[in-house]
Amino acid sequence: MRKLILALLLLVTIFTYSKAQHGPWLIRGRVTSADSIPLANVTVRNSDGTKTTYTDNKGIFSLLVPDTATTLVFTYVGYLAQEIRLLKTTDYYSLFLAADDNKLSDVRVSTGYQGITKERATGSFVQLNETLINRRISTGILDRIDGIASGVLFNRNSYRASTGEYDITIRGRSTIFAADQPLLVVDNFPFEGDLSAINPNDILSISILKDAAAASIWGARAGNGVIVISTKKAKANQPMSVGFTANFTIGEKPDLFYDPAFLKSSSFIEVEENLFAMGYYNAAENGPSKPPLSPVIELLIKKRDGLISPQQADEAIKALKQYDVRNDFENYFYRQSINRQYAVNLRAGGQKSAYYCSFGYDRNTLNTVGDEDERFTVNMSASFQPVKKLSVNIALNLAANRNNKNNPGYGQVNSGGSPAKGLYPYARLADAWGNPLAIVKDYRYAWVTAPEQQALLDWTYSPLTELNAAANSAQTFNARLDAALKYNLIPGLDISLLYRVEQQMSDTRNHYSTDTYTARNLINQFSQMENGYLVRHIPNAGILDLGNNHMISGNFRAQLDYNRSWKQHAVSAIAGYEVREMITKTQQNRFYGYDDEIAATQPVNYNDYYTAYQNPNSLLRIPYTDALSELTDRFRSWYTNAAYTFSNTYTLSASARTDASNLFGVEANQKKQPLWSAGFSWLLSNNTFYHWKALPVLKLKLTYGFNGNIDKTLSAYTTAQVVTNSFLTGLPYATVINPPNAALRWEKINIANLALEFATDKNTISGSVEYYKKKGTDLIGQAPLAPSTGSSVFKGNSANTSGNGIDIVLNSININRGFKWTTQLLFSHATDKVTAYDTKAVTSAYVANGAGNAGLIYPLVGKPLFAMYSYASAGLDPQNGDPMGYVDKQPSKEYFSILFNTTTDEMLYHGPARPTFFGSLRNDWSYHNFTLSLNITFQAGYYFRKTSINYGDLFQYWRGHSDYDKRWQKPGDEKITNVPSIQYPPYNFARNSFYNLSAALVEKADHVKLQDLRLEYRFNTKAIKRLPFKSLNIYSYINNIALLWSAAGNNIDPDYPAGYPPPRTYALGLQASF
Amino acid sequence: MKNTTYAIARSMLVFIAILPISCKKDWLDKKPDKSIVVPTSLDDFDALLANDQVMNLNPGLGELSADDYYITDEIFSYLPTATERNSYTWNKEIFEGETCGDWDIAYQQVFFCNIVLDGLAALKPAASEIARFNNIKGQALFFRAYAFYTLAQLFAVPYSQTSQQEPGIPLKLISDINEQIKRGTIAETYRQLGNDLSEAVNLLPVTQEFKTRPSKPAALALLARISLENGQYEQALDLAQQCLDEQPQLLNFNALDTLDANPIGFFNPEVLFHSAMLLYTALNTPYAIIDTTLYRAYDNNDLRKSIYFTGDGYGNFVLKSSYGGSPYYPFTGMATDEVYLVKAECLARQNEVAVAMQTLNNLLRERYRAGTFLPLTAANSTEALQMILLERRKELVFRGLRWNDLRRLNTDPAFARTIHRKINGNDYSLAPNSDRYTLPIPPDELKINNLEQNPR
Repeated sequence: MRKLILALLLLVTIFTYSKAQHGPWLIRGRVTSADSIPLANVTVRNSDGTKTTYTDNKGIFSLLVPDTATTLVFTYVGYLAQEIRLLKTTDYYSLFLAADDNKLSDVRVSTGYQGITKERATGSFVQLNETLINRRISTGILDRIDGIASGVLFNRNSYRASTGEYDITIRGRSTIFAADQPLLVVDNFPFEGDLSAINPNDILSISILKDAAAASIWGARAGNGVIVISTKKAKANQPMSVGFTANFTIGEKPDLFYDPAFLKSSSFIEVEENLFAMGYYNAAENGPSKPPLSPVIELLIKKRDGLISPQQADEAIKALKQYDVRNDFENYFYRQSINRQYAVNLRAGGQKSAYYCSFGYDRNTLNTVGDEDERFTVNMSASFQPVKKLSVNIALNLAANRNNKNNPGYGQVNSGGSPAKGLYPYARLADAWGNPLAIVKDYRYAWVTAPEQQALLDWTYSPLTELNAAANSAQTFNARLDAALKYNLIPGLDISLLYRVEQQMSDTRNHYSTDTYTARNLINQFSQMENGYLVRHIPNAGILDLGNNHMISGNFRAQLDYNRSWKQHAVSAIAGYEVREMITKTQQNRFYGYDDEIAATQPVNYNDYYTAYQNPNSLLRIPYTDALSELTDRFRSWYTNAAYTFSNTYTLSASARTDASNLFGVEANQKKQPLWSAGFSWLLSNNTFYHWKALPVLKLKLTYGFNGNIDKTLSAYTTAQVVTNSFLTGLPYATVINPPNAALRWEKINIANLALEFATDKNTISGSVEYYKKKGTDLIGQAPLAPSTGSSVFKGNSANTSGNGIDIVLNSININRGFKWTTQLLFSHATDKVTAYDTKAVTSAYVANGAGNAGLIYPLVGKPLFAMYSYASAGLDPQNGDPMGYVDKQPSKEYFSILFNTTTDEMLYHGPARPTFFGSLRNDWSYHNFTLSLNITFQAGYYFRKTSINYGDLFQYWRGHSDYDKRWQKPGDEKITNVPSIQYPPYNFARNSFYNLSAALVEKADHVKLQDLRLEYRFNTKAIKRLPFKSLNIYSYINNIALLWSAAGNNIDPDYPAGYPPPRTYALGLQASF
Repeated sequence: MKNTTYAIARSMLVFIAILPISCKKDWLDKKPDKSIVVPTSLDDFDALLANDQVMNLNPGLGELSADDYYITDEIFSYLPTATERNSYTWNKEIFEGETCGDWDIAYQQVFFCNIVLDGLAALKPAASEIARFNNIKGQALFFRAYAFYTLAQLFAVPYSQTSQQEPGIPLKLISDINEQIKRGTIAETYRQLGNDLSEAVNLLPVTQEFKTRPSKPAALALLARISLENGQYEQALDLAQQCLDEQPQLLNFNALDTLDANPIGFFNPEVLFHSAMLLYTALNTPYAIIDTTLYRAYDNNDLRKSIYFTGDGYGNFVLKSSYGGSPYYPFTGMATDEVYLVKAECLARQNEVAVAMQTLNNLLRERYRAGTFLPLTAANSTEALQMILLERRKELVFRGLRWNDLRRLNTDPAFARTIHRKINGNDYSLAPNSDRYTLPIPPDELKINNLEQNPR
């Protein structure tokens, strides 16, 4: 690109005679690009705008102008506009237009089927160029979109996000139960492999398709929007160049002290002592299953039984009060993360062939001790032009990924048992010298370590030993091979054949050696004393879990492209046929008696019941985890898309697509109902009547159409699914999962979009305002059936939703001299509402799970799909600190009645549980070679629920919360706290549930974050001639900087009411080209 | 790397080969998930009937409403659903808008059976498959009949000469979910049961690989039970005898370890067909305390006292482990001990006092500590019947049969009794032949399928 000419070359053939001119004057000429390729459809205009024409396919134009005309203006998408002064000496001009380096990569928006020039696009797109994509430093590609794409929201407080996956919604949610993530397309075809296979350094641009006109070409898979990722490719006529990138990122240790769900040791022990005095632990002490008791309880038992003196016990307990297990976790389980990223690419292109290849290596040491990721990527692409009209493109992408996942993380290390206990806050993971210490796990420590159990394997659990002994790893290999042929049939008409095969193989291996508690515990459970001998039904050796997941997909597409313009008309159309198949096979195996030295295994008896060693009442079978699955998706589609542009001012577009799939069933396939869209755009400022000087660019766009979506969990034929294995017989059996549904079809999302694009003089302020309305119909929902039919609910196309919103993008150039300051504001508003849903759940289901944070979905007509509900709170009873709600509008402590008799009309609706306003404010400053970029993000218009103390959970599950220390203790406290007084057993569980679901804990989630900062220095390579650099930049980047403001107070990030927010990271990087 | 290249090359070739195939009509008929079955083959039907999480569960509201146990006020306040609280106190209103697990599970069984029976009707088995075909068909008929039977005991009035035209239960006989069925009559309900079970008897083998599958003796035992409950004693005696001819075995309780937490274990030799009760909190150990009088009725030498029951630590006695081998799920299947009791009762009712008592004693001998059993004798048929019915209650405790027995015995003034509950200082009672012996049709059914509601 650096070779492209940056200056205007105007060649004028001067004839040495002048011609007397009167009346209109015919100017002719030819426009080409810098490399002499004729440019068609260049707008040629008289400077006063009265006469306009366009160049033809050979770049030739002719325009009749009045003799008063002095200047012609040439404009063309992706090129710098040029003016020429008309000379009286000639009427023929030949000129080059220079490519606009900044804009060229911006303006062609890829839909995955074609590149559309932004000027002629009617649909709603976000286009991110390489510079923006590289602004953030990350291993994953999707992180690079976060916070810089209008209308694109990364949910942090959703269930999906809590499982560590990206949760992206484009313009609000469009479905209830079906697939809810945008379709990801990498170079023409959907990408359904592991996202880590994509190295961000290989990405040239990303376009996000938001409305029907943009996305409906993807038919039944477009419903959640489409993200199209274009990789860097070979380009003709380029000298060889080499690019190099190196990034180094250090992340802070996570702050375990952030989560309020922790009760300090002294308070925790206080509760334990009180419970002990009440005899709360008597049953557990003598329980047949030997349930775990905490060290303090064990001390109290010994003290009671006179096994130790009261002073000894008190001193030991006093000592325990000093510990805080979070310190041990910070010391032994967490560390600073270090990410290293290197990428090299090579490219060159001649007249008839070109190639691009790149290598990437990433190595991440995660902040959890024992966890690492490593990635190696290779990309090769080549293009040839063997004969004049034929071009061939071949690309091979390989990615190998390896990771170790050994650290369960704080919160997953617990004391087990049934019901499962958390971890007592005074647990110690290591002694003063760093030697691992055992914690109470699953059973009473005293029982586990008693002499009677000596014949068994050591039954104690030390989290640190476990961390060191863990050997859990995964490897993924992803390969994509692309081949494309394009042949020019007649001028303007091309036929192309595209083919991709993608294969991904991932293998997981988890080896539980006998050093791990997991193996020892299982072996011990299945040990029995028979006639004085110990019999082990699980061999005394390791346990090996192996899993693999093989995915192979094939895609084929045949497409006709027609691009032609004449005079003021331009037509661009495509039509094609596509088939796609994806097969996913998974396998899971467990081997018992595994010896890692010699790779040998031993058989076990899965069929018989054994009495659990620790509990004679418990009959167990040896866990059988083997499983196989095979999934097949097949699609066959026809599609077309056409756009007609008149006079570069008006564009009409239309698209249609039919999908047939093995997921939908015969009836839907046969109906062939196309998903379609239509669009219109009008560049007002191109009209001759338009004279608004302050706003030289003004464009109106209007689109309407349908996108589809599918729910892979349903099938038209589905009647039964085989389940393994029956507890009683050990055999597999079948269960009916949904009655056959011949009428199953894809969901339809209807979107209307109205957009206004504008720019002031010199682009000082430019941007767009878009308004959209969405209507989801035929959404998969649950409808009630008479239970005598055998099913009480039926999942089918029975629900509807609606939504609307606004996306605003404002770019301003505030200062543009030596010092440059630009600002981009992204502001989005997105709402959604369930408009038809046939089943209704009980009130407590909406209140507890309406927000969707636990992965359950309870739609309620008239409300957003994810909504925050609660039970109204009447504060605390001043007498005793009991929480109070309402029954029949009167303050009440009838907790059962509140929980179960409150109607859905009486429960409180606070508002949406997902952001309805969001966006970012990005400022870029540059001075000489320095650039500083700072991004502030905000989310608002939604609610979250704070965690608090649940006394029942504290007693039963050892789950504490710092709110315990803020509880009501004496009359008057009700004025300063919402936290109810403690109620010891026999306690009313409904009292605890009510408080935790009451309005007292619901807060506004609105907040503003200083997301990131990037500082870059660009070396002046001309000044350092001795070095071989064509360009050289160094930069630093800081991410997750600070929470600037939060409606709920700054000590809590509403996106992370539990756990911890992502730690701040600091990066240094270098980018060079030779 | 070489392997990968090979794999890719191979898959490419494979896919190119797929291309022309992809244009074929049935290319899109491929199952999206291999584990999904469109039930068409005997294997598929067999797998559906193997679903013991559906097919081998039976209603529990009858036992919940019966008088073999009681719960404390505290436990009553912990009962999680209105259905349990109302059933326990025989309230007029039972469900308060809640769904009814008993109704749902029984009709789910009917649905599975109808899928199987509809599918079998469209299947022509090969000669070598006929035995298996018959077995599966017999099982489906049995399961469906058993489901209808359990529904009729809860949601329809007891069978009698005078109740023949009263509303029965919806007899759903095909799998189409769009077909809604009305209640029909008691006569129709029992005619369907009789026909289905008689056909099953002719189709089923004498033994099955697993006792979760009904065998011929199990079908005979169920028919005998229904005949007995409907007062057709002659028929019941005949069926019981046919059943015992095929499978007479009893389990000697002396062979069991009374100290064991689960002394009987799964699939004991007496079990003809294994099934268990849906889980209700009130019936859980240690909440359900065995009726004191009933507990005292067991002799100290009666091994059932220590095999069926255990102390709860507060001086009460609770169920230790079920006859079916699960500590949590009471047994609701068919077993030979019940068949012996059916036989004995029928004989007593036919004045065959000596044979009746001999039949009873044969069973009890297996239950008493070895060498301690003194055979029972009765002077006349009334005395014999009283003894047999008491032993029936003691032997079949927590087997889901007490409610049915209350319903049928209440029609005989000699055995009719009012049962009582006390909760939070309030007394509740249920008079013989009360309307409250029939539960209301669940509200979610009524909402969509407009059925006639039971008066209460």
